[in-house]
Amino acid sequence: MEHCKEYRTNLALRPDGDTAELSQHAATCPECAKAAKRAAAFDTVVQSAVMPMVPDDLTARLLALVPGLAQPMVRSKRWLRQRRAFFAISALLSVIGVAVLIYGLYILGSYVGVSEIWHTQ
Amino acid sequence: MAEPTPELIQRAQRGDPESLGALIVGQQQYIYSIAMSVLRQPEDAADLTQEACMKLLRVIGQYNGESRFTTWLYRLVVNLGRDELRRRGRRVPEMPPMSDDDGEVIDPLQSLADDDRWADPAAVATNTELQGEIRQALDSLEDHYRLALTLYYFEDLRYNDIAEILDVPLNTVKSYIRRGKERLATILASSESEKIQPPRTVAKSDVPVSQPRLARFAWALGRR
Repeated sequence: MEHCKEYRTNLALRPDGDTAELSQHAATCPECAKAAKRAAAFDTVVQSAVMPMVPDDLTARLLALVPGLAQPMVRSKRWLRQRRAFFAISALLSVIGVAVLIYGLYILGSYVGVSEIWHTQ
Repeated sequence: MAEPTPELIQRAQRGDPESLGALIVGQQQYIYSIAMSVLRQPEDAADLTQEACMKLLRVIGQYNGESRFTTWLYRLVVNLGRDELRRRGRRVPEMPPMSDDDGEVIDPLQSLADDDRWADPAAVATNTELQGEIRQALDSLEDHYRLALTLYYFEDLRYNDIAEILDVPLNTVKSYIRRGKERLATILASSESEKIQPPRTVAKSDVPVSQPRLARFAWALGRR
């Protein structure tokens, strides 16, 4: 019974107060084992409540305070999709442009006559 | 691990932007938690976190290693929070002297013994209802208990560090933690027992003729 009192008193200040003898006591005393589980559950929930999530934009706000630090670019998924679409359309237009250019040169060559051009030089 | 390495602190003290950034990112969660504990509003806490980081950038050169860096920094944050409360004309949390021998606290969580939800440490982690209740209970907890418990749940702060941050004796810190848990458990137990009580039914004869619609909801408004 004396161990029960000491064990439960120490549960609230776990890091300081747990001794090997007291741990052994919990293994043989169901009531104290129950109290230990309750204390662990309580600590888990309270810890998450006292350490709330930092707001999304706070990190950027804080890093902006540091002189000389390059700001990390925060891009949205929409921006990334638009960028991919832009590059895809640019590539397609480039291919079409090159094809039109080659075709134009070919038409010009057949109209003027490529050999004639060479002979005039 | 909240405590930054001595190398990181030294580089930050020399003004290295990357190290200052790493220091701030590593500490923002802890600074914000202290700010929330003192001011209790997310926007105010974010503003205080920003103010604390601005001050950190100004005075980091004054840190001389006498205490741990986190102890020094969190003390700075607590003091800024108190200054902010004073500026707003709000009551600054008192730190009443208290000894661990004041009264006898055997099991601070005794009042939760009949509540089965606390029986399984793994299950509570996903119990959002319980987490909401805890947040509400923390709001109604006395300021000194809330602040001491916040620091207690930071991973590697020792009782000596908490005593230094709050500027109170070591025994007072231990007492705050025990009694803070006891108070929190009592608040939770009382809110749970209020919840399971059925709403008071209003007898027809209780309903005043002049306010028939309001009286229908009298039990919800807590009116008699």
